[in-house]
Amino acid sequence: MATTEKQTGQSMAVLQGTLDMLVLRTLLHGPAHGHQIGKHIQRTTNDFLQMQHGSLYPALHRLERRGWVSAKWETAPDRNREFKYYRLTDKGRKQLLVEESQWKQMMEAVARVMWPAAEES
Amino acid sequence: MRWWQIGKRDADLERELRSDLELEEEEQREHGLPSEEAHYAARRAFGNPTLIRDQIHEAWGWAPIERLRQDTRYALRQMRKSPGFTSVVVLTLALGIGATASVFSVLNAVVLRPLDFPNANRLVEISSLKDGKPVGTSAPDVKDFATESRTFEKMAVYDEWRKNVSASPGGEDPQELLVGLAPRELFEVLGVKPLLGRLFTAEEGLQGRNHVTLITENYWRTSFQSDPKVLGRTLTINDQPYSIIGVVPDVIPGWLNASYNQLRPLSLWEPFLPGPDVWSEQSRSARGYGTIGLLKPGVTVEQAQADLVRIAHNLAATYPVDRDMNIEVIPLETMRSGDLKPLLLLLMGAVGLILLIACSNLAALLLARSTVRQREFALRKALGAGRTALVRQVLAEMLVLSVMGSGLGLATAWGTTRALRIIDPGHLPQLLDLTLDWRVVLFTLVSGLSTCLLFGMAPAIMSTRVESASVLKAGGRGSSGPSRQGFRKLLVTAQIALSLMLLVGAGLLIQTLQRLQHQDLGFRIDHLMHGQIYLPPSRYPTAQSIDEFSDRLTDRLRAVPGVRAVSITEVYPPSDRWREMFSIEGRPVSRLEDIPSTVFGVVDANYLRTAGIALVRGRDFSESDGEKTMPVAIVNQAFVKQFFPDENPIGRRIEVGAPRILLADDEWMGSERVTVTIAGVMHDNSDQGLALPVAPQLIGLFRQMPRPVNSGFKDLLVRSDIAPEALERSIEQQLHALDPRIPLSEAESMSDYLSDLTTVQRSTSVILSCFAALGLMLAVMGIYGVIAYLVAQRTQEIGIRLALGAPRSTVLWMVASQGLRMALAGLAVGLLGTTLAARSLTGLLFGVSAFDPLTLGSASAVLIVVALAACALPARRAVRIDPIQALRTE
Repeated sequence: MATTEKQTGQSMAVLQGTLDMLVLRTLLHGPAHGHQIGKHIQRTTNDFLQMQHGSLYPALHRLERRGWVSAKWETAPDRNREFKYYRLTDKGRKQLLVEESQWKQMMEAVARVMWPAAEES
Repeated sequence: MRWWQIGKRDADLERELRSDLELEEEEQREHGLPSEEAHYAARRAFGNPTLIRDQIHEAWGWAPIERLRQDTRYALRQMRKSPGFTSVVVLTLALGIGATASVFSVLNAVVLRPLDFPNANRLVEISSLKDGKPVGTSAPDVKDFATESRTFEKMAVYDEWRKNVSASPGGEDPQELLVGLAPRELFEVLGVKPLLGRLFTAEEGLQGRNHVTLITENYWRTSFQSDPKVLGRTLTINDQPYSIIGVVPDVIPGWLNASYNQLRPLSLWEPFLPGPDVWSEQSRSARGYGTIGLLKPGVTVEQAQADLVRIAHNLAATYPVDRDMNIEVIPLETMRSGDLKPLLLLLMGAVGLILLIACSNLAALLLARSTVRQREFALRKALGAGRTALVRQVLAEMLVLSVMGSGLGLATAWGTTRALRIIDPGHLPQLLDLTLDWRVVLFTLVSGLSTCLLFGMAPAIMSTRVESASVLKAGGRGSSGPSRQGFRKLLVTAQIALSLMLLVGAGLLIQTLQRLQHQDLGFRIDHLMHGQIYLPPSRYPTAQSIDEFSDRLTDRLRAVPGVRAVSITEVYPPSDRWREMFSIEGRPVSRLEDIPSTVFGVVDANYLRTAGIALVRGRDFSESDGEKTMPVAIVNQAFVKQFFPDENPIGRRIEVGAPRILLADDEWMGSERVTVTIAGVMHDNSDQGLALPVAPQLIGLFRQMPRPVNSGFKDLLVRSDIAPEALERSIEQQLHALDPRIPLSEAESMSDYLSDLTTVQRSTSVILSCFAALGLMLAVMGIYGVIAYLVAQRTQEIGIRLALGAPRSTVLWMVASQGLRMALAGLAVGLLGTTLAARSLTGLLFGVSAFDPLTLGSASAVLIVVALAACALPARRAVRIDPIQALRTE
């Protein structure tokens, strides 16, 4: 639901359902605020995954409500300004594992359909 | 965070989203974009903030609340946009609900609220009945009831007396106070625990041991400033020292008083010992005490009644004085409501009608508004709003309106109850408990919300049933189908019917009040004042001492300039509760139940002259009728009519008191008897209160009566040209010059006293008249609304008619006849309703029939006039329509 219709050039929209996993994975490095999370996802995929920053926030709030992340207003270390920092909770860590393994299964299933020869060899 | 912190949460979110935008903007600037472009680039990268906000709210799971907030906000905006409509609706609701809540709060205090006693549902009042009327109980009877009953846990007899009480050590400056006489059991039955000290013991109910008193919390506060060391102090009650043994809370309400005419609250209690031989056999016929019983758990009132009837039956077999006596057991809660209940139910019914009228007006208003808003709804529907969304929207508007209306209504009720308590301090002791408790608040809110839902639902659904295309095509000139107008006419007809019922009810009650106040009571009310004194037996032990004091006081008062006549008496109109058995010489009676009885009283020689009662036949009492001369009596016309229909009563001899052979101890005379000779016949004067016909009455002179009848309880009647307040001071002066330790109490002008007696009827008729006016006003609004709307709808038609040469009078009649038709239909229905309600009304009326043609006729006339008046403005507008203008707008 948080995807955009816009697909330009080499980039594509974040796949439905993967955003939560990406956010959780990003937070594994440590607490971050919304803008940082968005930038991080964009940069690590070399801008391949294009998304509007705004669409990140519904996901963040959803994760917070489920108790997978916790949020707190804190002053940023490099500048004198408060941001809302999101932090992975223990529940979130477990969820990340679950999603990761689901994603792997999905990839494998897709791969089997797409490249059956590779599977047989 | 919880949903009610939604505002804070929203602000939080706003801050978070803004900081993202700002960071993005900074970054874009660092990439070298000019600041304005950076701003837009950041926005583009962010996406649609409104959509995102919505998605986040969705993620919070608070969407329904969010929608409610939105609907409410929208409703408030709608209301601000049409302040006229809003204020009319809210005021209508506030009036309807306020009136209903006010009446309900009285009903709650008098009928509904549980009594403040533990075991309240097991408390009953017991009274003996003679000829179907409660006459109280006698102490020996109650003792037998208590020992023989199987259904009562406990029973207590009690009474209250006027006594002269002084808190100062020497007994100076006494006040006349109402003193309760009660055994320990009364407090136990009611579950009253002393705040300080202890209750009476059983021995303290015995002669000689009874000089102890329990003071009430209120008396403790006013006379002792709540001094905790009050125990052991001495009060002087009727010149006798009583020591204070405890303080009891003020939980025993005035309506519990054994004699209903004493509405003052009690100030203190002493052990139940009204006379030294109250418990002995000769007092079995001395009834008039109150009795309260506590039923055993699980026993019904009917079972208790049957149990006591059985005992009363046995008693009647043993004691002749108990023959022909019935017994009645009623729940204490019924006793509290007393004769107020039918009136209150009437008012509740009336206020229900008001609420109905208000609501039907509301429904009509909403319908009219929905017609106006059809275009808006059609547009919203066309833009994709679902039907449920529209209904939800309309209901939210209703909800906001009803909350405001209920709130204002509650405030109105609060104001009314405050006003009632201020206007009526103590005439109706039940009203002292008048408060807005949770029942009233709940009732108000429930009635407010349910009326809104009930009457708002139909317009809500109707208004959303719009065909977008046709309405939008019609250019927004909302036309409502004939069925909708029919519904409105039906509502107005119902309003007129209900208003008629209210008008008739108010009219009948006003006439009842008029008849009660202006009936010929048989005595002169103007320039008359009454007061009470009590001569305690310690200083006035003999009949002679009482006579002497009375003579001296009479002489002194007569000497006051402006005083025209003075009488010292023990009875006065309009209500003498004293009844006495008697026998006419030459007409022997062999059975106790056949002995006639009469309203009785003892007076002085000046009574008829002072009270202004006319002598019809024979002679008046005179100063020369004294202790040594032949005892004489005066009877009223009713007495003559009943006992000497075809004979001359003058000179007939009558023995006052039950015949000795049949009953040795008379209730009032004891073992004494006196034979009086009828000297004169007085004009009938009220002796059973205002609403009952005059009963046979016989009065004698107290100085010619034995001591038990010539008691220390005396009433003063003074006829003078002096203003009541000044007169009261003069009487007090003269009284205290004779005996400074006798207080004057209940001093009041006769007209004030009489108007006190009609308090209930007066306030009811005032309230009912207000309701009728309110109903009428609402009906006028209803009629006006419909007719004005019709005229507006038919502007073009009327324009064409006028253009084609229709006379203005025809147009006028066309409009007026619409209103008249509704009025006549409403009258027909209303008259039918009045007929149906007549039965419940009859019991409350006096001197006027529920079908009084004058009342019905004038109420109908008023309604027709009002209906026509409501048509007048729209009709004028119709006649003034300019045909050219009307056609051009087409």
